Amino acid sequence: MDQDKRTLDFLRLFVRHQQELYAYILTLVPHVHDADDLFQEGMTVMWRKFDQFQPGTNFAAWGVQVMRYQILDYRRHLARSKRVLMEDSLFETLMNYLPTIQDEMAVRIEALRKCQSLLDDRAKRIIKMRYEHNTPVEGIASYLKVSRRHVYHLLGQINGVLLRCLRRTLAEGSRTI
Amino acid sequence: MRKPPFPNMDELIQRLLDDQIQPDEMARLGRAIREDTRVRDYYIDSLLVSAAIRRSSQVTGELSGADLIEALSSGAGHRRSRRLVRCLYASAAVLMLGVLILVSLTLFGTKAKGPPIGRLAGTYEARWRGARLRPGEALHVGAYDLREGMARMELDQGTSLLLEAPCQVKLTSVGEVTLRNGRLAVVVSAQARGFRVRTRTTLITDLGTEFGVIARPDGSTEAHVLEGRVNVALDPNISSRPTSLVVNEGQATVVDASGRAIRDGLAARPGDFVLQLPPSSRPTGSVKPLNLADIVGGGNGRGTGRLDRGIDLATGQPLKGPATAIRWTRRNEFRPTPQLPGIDGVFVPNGALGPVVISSTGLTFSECPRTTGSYFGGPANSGKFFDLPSQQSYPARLNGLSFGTSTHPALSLHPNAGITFDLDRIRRDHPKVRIDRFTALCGIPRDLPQSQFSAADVWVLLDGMVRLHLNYPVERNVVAEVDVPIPTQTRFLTLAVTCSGRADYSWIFFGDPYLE
Repeated sequence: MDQDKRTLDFLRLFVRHQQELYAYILTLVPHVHDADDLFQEGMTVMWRKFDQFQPGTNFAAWGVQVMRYQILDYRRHLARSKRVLMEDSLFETLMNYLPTIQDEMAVRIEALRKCQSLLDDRAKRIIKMRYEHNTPVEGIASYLKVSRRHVYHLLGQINGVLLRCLRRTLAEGSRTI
Repeated sequence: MRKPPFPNMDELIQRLLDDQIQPDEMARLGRAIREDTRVRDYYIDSLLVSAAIRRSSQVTGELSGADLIEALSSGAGHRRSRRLVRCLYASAAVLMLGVLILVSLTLFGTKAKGPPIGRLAGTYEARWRGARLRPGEALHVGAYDLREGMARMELDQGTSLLLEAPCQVKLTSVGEVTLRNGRLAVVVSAQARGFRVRTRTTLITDLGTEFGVIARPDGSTEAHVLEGRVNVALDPNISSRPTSLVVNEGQATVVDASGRAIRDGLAARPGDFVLQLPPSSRPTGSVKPLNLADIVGGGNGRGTGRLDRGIDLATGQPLKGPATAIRWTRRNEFRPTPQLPGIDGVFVPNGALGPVVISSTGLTFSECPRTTGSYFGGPANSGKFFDLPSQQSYPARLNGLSFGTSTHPALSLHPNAGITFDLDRIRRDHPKVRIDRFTALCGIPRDLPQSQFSAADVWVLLDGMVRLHLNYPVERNVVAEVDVPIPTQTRFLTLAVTCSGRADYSWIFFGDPYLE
């Protein structure tokens, strides 16, 4: 039973904070497939080390520490390959800066959830294809009968719309407070 | 901050996420993030958007899933209506099932956890799903999913397994492996005689041998005996009658997707399997090599060219998108390419029509064989080929690696085609680069919709003199390492691909085509 409770506790915390953890990884490893792998590996390590987590403390902050080592290990491993990696100086800049805004992440994600629901149907469909069905950009281009470059342009536009909505929502939130 | 800090930043970030960003673009973006806090904040928020969407729509469930779990564990639903409680519990059960499947897959599926039964003996640019294994590490009973590259596993009784990506295997014991999907070569020691490879439809048992197995996604299985013999049996759970046969050296057998029919007496294709890992990639020196595929894509050799752009052999003009028609020409004409710096021109080689001119200065390719004069598109900065019957694009894999990316560029050259690079012009554009050699991997991807119709030949010429000739016979798959030294005074480097017969599916790629 203790094991069941431990599993349930872990899952509850992990599901609640998964987007914050994934955002941390993706910002430092901006490549979705590698970020997915690191997320899964990091989850495994967090599960193994869950005994070290102090209940009542900040689960996301603890998770970020675990993920940090996974990411450093990943960069060491890829350093000799020909992959286009983020430069060390940029990586260090972001890695040092991210913990300073970690506490705001949950609020931003909540705001984004609202913004996502405001997108028009076409944008929702494109997002669904790209993120839910993992359709390659070529596939989306073929579906929409546009060029691959235009799909990147559309995705960029959607990103821009969501960002503007995020900023607006956060600003409105701070005014009411 | 209402707009991105520089015009195409949104698009750049999207391509970054897909590993489609070029090195110079990455450097520009990185510099901007470091130097301008507005760019940094925009970058972080953009990645947050992508992360939040991606993790809110996948198998881990919507964010509201956390509420359902809480409802399940705290009994909050007792205060609600019975219908709502039923609904909540049903949703929670589905969510929990999904999460637990994810957890079990993550914790126990992607990284093997059973007892150790061997070690990872070597790798070639390997990427594993859910794990980062290094040579020398112990291998355990369990599943391994090789996404990119190649790997050699050595099991404790001396059996060697050579995996070529994409390949999913499950190590069951020192005496058995299940090949779920992909291509595997097995070298069995005398001590391990009787080693078994299972697929979804077939059981292959070693009788003292080297053999290769291909398990296709539809369930069909091929067994190729390279040395010795194997026994191939249909899975009795699928086939209504027990069927097995002994396959001898040099022979192959195919079990169909239903697992009920077995076809033997076929010739083995040893070239379809790798028995030795290629040497590791060369570390990049202080001066980066020049990427010839990028120059074909209209770039400067440093990643500024466009992917999937090529050159029309009929006009010498830049070409967008994949070729969708086979064309013929009855004249040997050299087409200059003034719009593409570094490229002198292109041509359709056919030795039967008189001298084949390969440069603007009138150099000829005297050894050029007779061809049909047919061609399909032209040289392209691309790792894809368009298959006319299925109307689909196929990606190129050589040695288990995906080509046609910013990491591993590809120059595709479908027969009959030739391209001549002007090295003097390239030297002028890159005065710091010393051009000593042309290096690449050259081959035809293994997993084509159909086998090539006739043998293909690849030619590398320096100032009109043949320096390398590679032959690609039908059904003998070879990936060659090209390394052609280039003397200092050489002006023209020519790459040509020819086919004496029909050129269908002779999809030649130069992977990592660099001037170093």
